[in-house]
Amino acid sequence: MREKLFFFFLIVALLVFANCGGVTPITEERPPLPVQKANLKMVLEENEGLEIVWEDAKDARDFYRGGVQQKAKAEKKLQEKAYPEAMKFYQASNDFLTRMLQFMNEDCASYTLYEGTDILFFPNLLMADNYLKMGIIARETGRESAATRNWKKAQDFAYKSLLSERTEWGLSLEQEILSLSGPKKN
Amino acid sequence: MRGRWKRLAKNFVALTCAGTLWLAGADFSPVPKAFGQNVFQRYSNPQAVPDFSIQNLQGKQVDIRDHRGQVILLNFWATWCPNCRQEGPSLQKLYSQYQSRGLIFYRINSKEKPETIKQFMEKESLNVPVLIDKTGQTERLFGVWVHPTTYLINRQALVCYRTMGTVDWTTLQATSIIDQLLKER
Repeated sequence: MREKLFFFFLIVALLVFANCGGVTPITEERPPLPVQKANLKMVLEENEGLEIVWEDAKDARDFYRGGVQQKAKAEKKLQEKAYPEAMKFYQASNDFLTRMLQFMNEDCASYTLYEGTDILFFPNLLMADNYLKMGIIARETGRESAATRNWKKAQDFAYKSLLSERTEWGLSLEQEILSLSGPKKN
Repeated sequence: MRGRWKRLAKNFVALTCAGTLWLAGADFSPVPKAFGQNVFQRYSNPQAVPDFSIQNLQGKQVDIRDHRGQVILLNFWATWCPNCRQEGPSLQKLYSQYQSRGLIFYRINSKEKPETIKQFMEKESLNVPVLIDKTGQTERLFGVWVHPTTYLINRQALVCYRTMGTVDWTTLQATSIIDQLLKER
């Protein structure tokens, strides 16, 4: 009986150690992915073309593409300082991306669609960037508490993004959120 | 009392066995979508087809804008994709049946060498016109996620239908959609 127990625990121990073998130590930090390899401009360009509208988005990745396309529109409106329209598109982008995150919630610099075709996949970071800019618009239009709320959300999404994929883009976004969400300078 | 427990135990064993047998016999494999089910996603809000210009298998440039006013079938595929290979013969039949009726066919190959494609086409006895998306830019413009993916474009250059995965193009569902698009003016 004692022999059987011994062998049982031995097998369990071997299985546990075998599974731990492939795990990368958490303490070791990899250098962040350079901004030349993953940035907003590249993501927007990758998703140009056939437009995805909400009613026709079926696949999880349709929602990602839709989210990026709405964000591209929002960025254009923000540059033009057309704040209400920009807010509308940022919100639409977040709606798409929120739906997408229900299916796939990890950012990845090289998401493989099929043989030889990878895409930049950053739903969390795009959400962070959207909330960051929604916060900026809120401050510009004198709604300080809305700005703070948006930056808090931006911070959460940037954190999630950096947990799954450390990028210079994500780190700089995080810095920007921190500097903005600090006390307002007069 | 003891007899009651025995009966309960027997019932439990019988139900477990029946459940196991049912699970063993049940087919949980994905239902082949092409047969009878609605595999054609009809866009409720059709969007304009993105412009692109790429070479065909013979090296001639083909511009999608030259086909404005025509019904177009664009099939994104690759020779290494098993589902695309499976779909090939029915697509070939559709092509033979509809090319004379004005349907424009293009199978857009993903980043493969012309020699590889030519060898494959000869081996499979296929002659559907093939375009080569050397860089993958055309696939990106359409937002292709899987192979095969097919888009049906109407005479107004709007993308009306999409299918993802293998389709039997000889079914009544497939041909009636194409017939309807060809009828529209």
